[in-house]
Amino acid sequence: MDVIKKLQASDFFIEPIPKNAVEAMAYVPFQNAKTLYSPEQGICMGTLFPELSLPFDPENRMRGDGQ
Amino acid sequence: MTERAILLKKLSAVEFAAHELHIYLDTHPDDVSAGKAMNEYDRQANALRLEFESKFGPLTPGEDGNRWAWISDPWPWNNQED
Amino acid sequence: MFVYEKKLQYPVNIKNPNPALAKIIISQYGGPDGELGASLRYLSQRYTVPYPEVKAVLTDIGTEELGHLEMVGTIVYQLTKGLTVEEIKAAGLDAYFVDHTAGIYPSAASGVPFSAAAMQVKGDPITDIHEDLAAEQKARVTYDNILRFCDDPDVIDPIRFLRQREIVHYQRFGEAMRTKCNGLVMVMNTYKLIFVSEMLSLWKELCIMLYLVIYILHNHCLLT
Repeated sequence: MDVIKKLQASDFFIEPIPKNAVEAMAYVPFQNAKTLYSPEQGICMGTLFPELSLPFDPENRMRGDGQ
Repeated sequence: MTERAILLKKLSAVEFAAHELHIYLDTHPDDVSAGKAMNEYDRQANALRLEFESKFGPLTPGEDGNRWAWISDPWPWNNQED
Repeated sequence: MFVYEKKLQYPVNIKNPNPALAKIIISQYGGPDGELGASLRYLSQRYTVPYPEVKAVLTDIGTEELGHLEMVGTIVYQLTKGLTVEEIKAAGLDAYFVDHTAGIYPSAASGVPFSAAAMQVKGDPITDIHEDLAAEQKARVTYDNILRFCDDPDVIDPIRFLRQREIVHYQRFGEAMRTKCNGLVMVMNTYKLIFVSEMLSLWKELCIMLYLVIYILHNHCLLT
């Protein structure tokens, strides 16, 4: 059901965490989008980007740490 | 679902895609392929919006002659599937 | 300026009124971590921000939050349509009803009216973005909590959408701390200059660049 559109391959890339990261500054890893959901799938998920799709998981089933 | 609700759903999906890429491009202005995708979705959204407005009345206040079309129900908080 | 589009960002079509749900969902309308606070916060912070990418992010996300405010208002409105007095009383909405009838009044689930005291505009770009990151997480948790109480799919659907949007906004605000314009601030840190979170004027930035050029040239001369 996941209809994914690949963005054209480009040389666009930003280092997720900068190599010159310093103390006392906060960083959120920079997103480098490579694929998109279709508009219909995207609006249903709440985002066009599969990597940002983090659904509500009250029983922590997706924790994946063996628990 | 009514024809109006179906067309509104299509328009909302494409507008959402354009908007999501628009805010992505605020922090990634140099991502050319994302820019191209946004332009494509914008184009599709404009076409769908024109189609919706011609059939079901204006979505933004404009110079359209029919003032009752803007004033009339349904407004967004009314149930659109009634 | 603001242009209005006569449609919701995501559809809300609720078939079954539910005053008990309305009572808690209204917190995302006028509560401390709700959409009204979010949009006011972002739209107010953008005036004093020196970096254009951040101004764009604050404007675009602030505008989207106004659309979310409309969605939450719609959810509460549809959940309280056509209720009898007995249903209102049974759900504990009688105190609200006395002052507001079925009107949508910006307040929290506790009844506390909306207040800007729950938000901050510090006038410092790093601080304001941290405020925004926290705001997005608080809103996301509020939606988590609403989902814990929800069993109506017509309500779960738009709430789920709104919750996911908060996560995307969090990502954008995080990225906004590393825009091209404030990349210079990051570089300053690696050369051990003292970083003070302040708004740099262009003149100051030019002086610092000149300092860096001289510093690099000086090192080069030492090596040859």
